[in-house]
Amino acid sequence: MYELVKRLTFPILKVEQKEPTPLPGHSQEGFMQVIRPAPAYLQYRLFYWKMGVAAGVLVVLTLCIALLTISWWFIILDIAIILFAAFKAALFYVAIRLDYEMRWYVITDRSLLIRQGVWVVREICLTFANAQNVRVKQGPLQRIFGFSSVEVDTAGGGRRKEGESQTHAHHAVLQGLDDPGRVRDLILDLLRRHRTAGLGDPDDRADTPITHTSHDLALMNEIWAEAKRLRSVLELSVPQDNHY
Amino acid sequence: MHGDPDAHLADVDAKRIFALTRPDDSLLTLYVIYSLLANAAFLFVFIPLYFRFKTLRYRFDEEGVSVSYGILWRKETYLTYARIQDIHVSRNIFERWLGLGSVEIQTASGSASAEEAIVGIREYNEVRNFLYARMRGHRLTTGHQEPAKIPSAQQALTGIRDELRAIRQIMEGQHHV
Repeated sequence: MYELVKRLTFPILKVEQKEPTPLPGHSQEGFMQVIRPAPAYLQYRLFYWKMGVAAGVLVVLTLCIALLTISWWFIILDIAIILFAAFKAALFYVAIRLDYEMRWYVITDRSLLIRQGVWVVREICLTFANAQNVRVKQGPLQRIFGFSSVEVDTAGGGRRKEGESQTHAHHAVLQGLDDPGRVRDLILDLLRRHRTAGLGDPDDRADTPITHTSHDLALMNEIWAEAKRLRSVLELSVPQDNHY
Repeated sequence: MHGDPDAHLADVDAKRIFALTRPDDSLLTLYVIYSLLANAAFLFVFIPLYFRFKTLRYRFDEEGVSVSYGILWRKETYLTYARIQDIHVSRNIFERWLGLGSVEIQTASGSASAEEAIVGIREYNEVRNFLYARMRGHRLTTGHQEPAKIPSAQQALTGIRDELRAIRQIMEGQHHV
């Protein structure tokens, strides 16, 4: 049923169901990860839909019975109301399913690209050099379903409702992730490569980040020890040189 | 430095973008649709949109992009590519029917809406890629610089250690002989 509706609506909606192409400058061997929302996210959205349907059925039934108590002729109006309500519920169901299928989060070594939406298809891209903070959010219901959303902000704000987690200007939201910790660590790791403030500083090519891994440090310690031993060997050899 | 640091800019055909000065003609169709949706207020919605369409001008140059429109109240926004924070490409259902798209550009200012929007163009993807390729943070890790950095540092350190060890062994040898 859903597949049929989807096939019927796709030519009208003109959305393309394929993952977004990586941004220019991305090399073939470069790091890239395509993340999709978890099935739990769909369950969560459908849960809201079910609640809505339950409330709708209650309201429609009450209304229909109330109308029938006035006159039996209102049965025609009743049928119209029920058909309209059923159509609306079906429309929302398809919209939720499509919205779930039309979400891609593409993370490369330097940028984040999000494509989402059915009515309005929106593609957001930002570079990690410009990202200001990363936030992991989870509501009580989302905890029950077992997913979180990860939000990445860039500089600049604007009025918006507190707690709203829709993607808009300066604000990218990766909704419905079942492994938010991994995604957060991944993004933070990419963020750490940039030491500038992300406020439009011109690129400084000499400012390549220096990162020392534990392996580097172990090597440096070895060099230190090696140098110490070299000095002690030299110290021993110096008095011998005087004998020659 | 490995190769030309601006090599990534070649990915996007800049000439095509620089030639882009006007929105596509079907933007007017889109504005008619928007106005029709307003029903009774058709003229109130359509007249300003018509003049906006007529006066809308884009100008891309090496440093930035400007958008201007207006007959009585004129408005021109200019922003430099380096100051772009994030780029949104949005296409609502009418825009998709007409093959149009809007590129919304955000800088670090405090406005809730996009600081500059390039609306009603068919080359929305090309424009987005063009802008992206000129954003901060795009070239910082471009090419093979970043991956080459870490192994070369390790190689250097290992080399130093091996050198030192060899020197010590030679000196130890001299000492015993």
